[in-house]
Amino acid sequence: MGKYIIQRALQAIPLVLIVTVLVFSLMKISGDPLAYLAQDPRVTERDRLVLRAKYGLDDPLVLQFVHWVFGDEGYVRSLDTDQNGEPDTTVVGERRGIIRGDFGDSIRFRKPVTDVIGQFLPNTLLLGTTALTVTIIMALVIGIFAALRQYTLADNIITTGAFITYSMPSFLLALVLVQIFSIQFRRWGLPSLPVSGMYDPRGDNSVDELIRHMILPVLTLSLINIAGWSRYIRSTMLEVISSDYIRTARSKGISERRVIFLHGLKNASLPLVTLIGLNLPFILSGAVITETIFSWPGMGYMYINALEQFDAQLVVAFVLMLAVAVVVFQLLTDVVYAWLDPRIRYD
Amino acid sequence: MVKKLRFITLALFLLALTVGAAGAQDEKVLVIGWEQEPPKLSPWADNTFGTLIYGFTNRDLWDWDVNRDIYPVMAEEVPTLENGLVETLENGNTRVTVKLREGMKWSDGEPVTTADCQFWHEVKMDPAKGAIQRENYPDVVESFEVVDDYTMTITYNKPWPDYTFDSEINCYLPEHVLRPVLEADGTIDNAPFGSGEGVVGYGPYKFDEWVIGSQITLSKNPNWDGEPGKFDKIILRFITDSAQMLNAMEAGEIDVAFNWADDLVDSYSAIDGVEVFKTDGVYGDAIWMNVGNFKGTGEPHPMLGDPKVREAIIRAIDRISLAEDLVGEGVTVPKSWTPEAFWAPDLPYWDYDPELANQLLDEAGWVDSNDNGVRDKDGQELVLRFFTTTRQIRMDYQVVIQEYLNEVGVGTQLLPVPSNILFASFNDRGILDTGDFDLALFALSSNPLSPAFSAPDWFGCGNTPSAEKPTGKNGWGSCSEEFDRLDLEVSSTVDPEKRLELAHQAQKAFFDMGFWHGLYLRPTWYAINSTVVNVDEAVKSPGTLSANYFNNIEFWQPAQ
Repeated sequence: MGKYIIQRALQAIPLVLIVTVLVFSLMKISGDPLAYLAQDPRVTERDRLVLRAKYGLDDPLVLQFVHWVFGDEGYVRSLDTDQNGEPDTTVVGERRGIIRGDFGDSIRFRKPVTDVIGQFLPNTLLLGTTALTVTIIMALVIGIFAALRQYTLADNIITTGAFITYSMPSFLLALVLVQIFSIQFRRWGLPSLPVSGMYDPRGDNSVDELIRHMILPVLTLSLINIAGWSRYIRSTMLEVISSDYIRTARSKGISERRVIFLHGLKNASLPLVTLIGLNLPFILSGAVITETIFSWPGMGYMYINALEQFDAQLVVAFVLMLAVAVVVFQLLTDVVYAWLDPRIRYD
Repeated sequence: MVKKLRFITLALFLLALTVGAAGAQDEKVLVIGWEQEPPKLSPWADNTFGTLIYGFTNRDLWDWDVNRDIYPVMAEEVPTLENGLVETLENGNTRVTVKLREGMKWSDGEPVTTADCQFWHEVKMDPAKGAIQRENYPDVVESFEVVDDYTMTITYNKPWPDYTFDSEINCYLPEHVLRPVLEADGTIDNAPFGSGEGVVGYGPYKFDEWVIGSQITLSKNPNWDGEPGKFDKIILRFITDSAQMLNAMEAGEIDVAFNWADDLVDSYSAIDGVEVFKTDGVYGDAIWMNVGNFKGTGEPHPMLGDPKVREAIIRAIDRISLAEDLVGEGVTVPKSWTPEAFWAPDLPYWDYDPELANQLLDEAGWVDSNDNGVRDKDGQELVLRFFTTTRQIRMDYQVVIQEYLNEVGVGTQLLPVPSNILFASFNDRGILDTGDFDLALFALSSNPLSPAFSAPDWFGCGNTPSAEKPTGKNGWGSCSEEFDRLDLEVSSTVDPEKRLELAHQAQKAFFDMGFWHGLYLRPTWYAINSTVVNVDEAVKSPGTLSANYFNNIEFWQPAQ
């Protein structure tokens, strides 16, 4: 197992590098990150040139990538800001490179990318882990419930509901939930749920305020996954409860609850491990659409703002973080899978 | 029984959560929806929503009312030639003396003095001391002198008529807060001030807290000596999704939404208790024609290089009806790039006249010889590539303009592209900078207070971007030596009357270049919850300049 983990970790390094190069190249060819200054005649050409030099935007592309990875400390760029053919300003590089944990400065926030990410990550983790917990519990409950009542009216209703929910785009689901629980409930004079943010702007930032504000985003994030995951649980549960060892357990007189939850569920939950493993990185990245719609101050919200403001450093760091997380969690999933199912062995 | 109890307990808990928000409110709180979270505060932030916060927490030496008449705020009086505070030196350069009002205090209680203004000057003059917008300041300011705690002079290295708003004296930053940072770091860029910590200002509201990703909280400034703010707290709530901004308004989570798109007027108006009004903007969307930089060659455009074709295209479009239909009643169609207040009374304007458009095209030799509905000449079809950004109103405009032009036999290929592609630099193959367009629809903001164009990079001869001069911005290749001369004179004439006369001549020369044709001044829309805000007072006190929607916020009152 140890050898396998090392082998996989080594394989991951070129994979992450390739992803990094691809993302960096895409960002570079998709336009000028300082184009937003172009509509403002108050910004002088000198300011533009100094900014471009500070971020190394006029360096050759390969050099920009090298500087991004290994840093440009001490690298001097000479500028001819008054356009008379003679350099009159120098800008000295200060970046240490991602290899030393320096992802550069966010162009728009004008502070280190890691600081910016650090501000948004905790909120995303709070929302993401809550949604994941709700998803796991509800998917298990619904999946098992449906499996134990196969082809009954309840099972058919759950199946129909799952298909409808699963086929809904998350932005639509979010807006429908807002329309019902925030707008219509208010119109009907019923207690309503908040539309945006983590706390009521007029409130006291209390825990119950936080929970109220989490309900709709958590529902948006969970419902679609619950719909999908409960189907997996249902089908694997059906497979497990008709297997020989379950019949044996029943014939031994073990209680039905013990048979289902102890013997059945452990094996039926194996596919859930893969699903959770694949979804964990996206907790870090935040649910981009959901966070944006609900103005939840997390990574998704940050990412969309960075994209809109063409903050290349932040976008690239975010995508790189996501790529690393996918690789790491994939590895962890394999390890957990092997631990849960002793039949699985690796060469 | 146990199951029922569990269910009832859960239901009660959920009900408590949904009701929990409403509590007794003694404070008068105003919540404003803020569609973009600024990365930093002004002057570090260069986006609109960063500088707008200034309207709550700071005031300048002087300001302008809704009629754009200037009045003093921090200064005892506005310097003019008449009151002797503006002098023309022997060498023709301008010197301005400013006297601060005594007794003003920053929000932390420290006095406002000329030391604060000198600190701003120091930072503006040296790029190493802070990454802020300097504009022309270091190029035009010769010296700054402190006479005493309340008197100072600034001397320009040329005649400088725009001393009230361009490279002007400013006392924006509190020296007592930022000097220690500058001395420690050599720059003010890393000051916590820029990220909302320890912010000190001179305005009706003071900066309390910035919760990243959520909101900024402001409260009444006890040390402000002007008209006091009427709300105890103002909260700027970040909601970046326009549909959710509307929902938040309807759900009562915010009391004011502003700067939203024109197509939402009906939706906001339909919300119970919400009233909608607008103010004129200064961002004028216009049609820009590539007249002298065909495919980036610097050569005249084979179609649009002909003045008759240019006039025909504009005559074929009913710009007034378009503005009314797509933007709203009473929206101004600008006749020139500079603000309306400075327009010449006899400024030419091409009215909608499709017959004349057809006649002009015929005279220019463009006829539909092959009967395909599009005019042609020497085997070339009169089809123009028409670019704009992906902003919805602009794409709507594009479609209708295409219909108008079809009527006179001019074909168009509509190309909406992201703004970072359209406005990218020459080196990054930007569409405008490389002249790779025929028509384009976008806005370039003018200075709302100046009659001068003062943008030679954009309009002047010799500023077409090229491999030799990639920094030029005149991608449409306009050139008029007469215009360049007049605009230079406007920029350096201090006498207001003489200046305006020259500005009128410059506007005509600009019109004669024929590459810019106004479509509409983008209005700023406000939606206000009338149960929280006294709308009549708000309507009387909107922001007076493009980047200052809330510079009269102290006059906004809670609803009775």
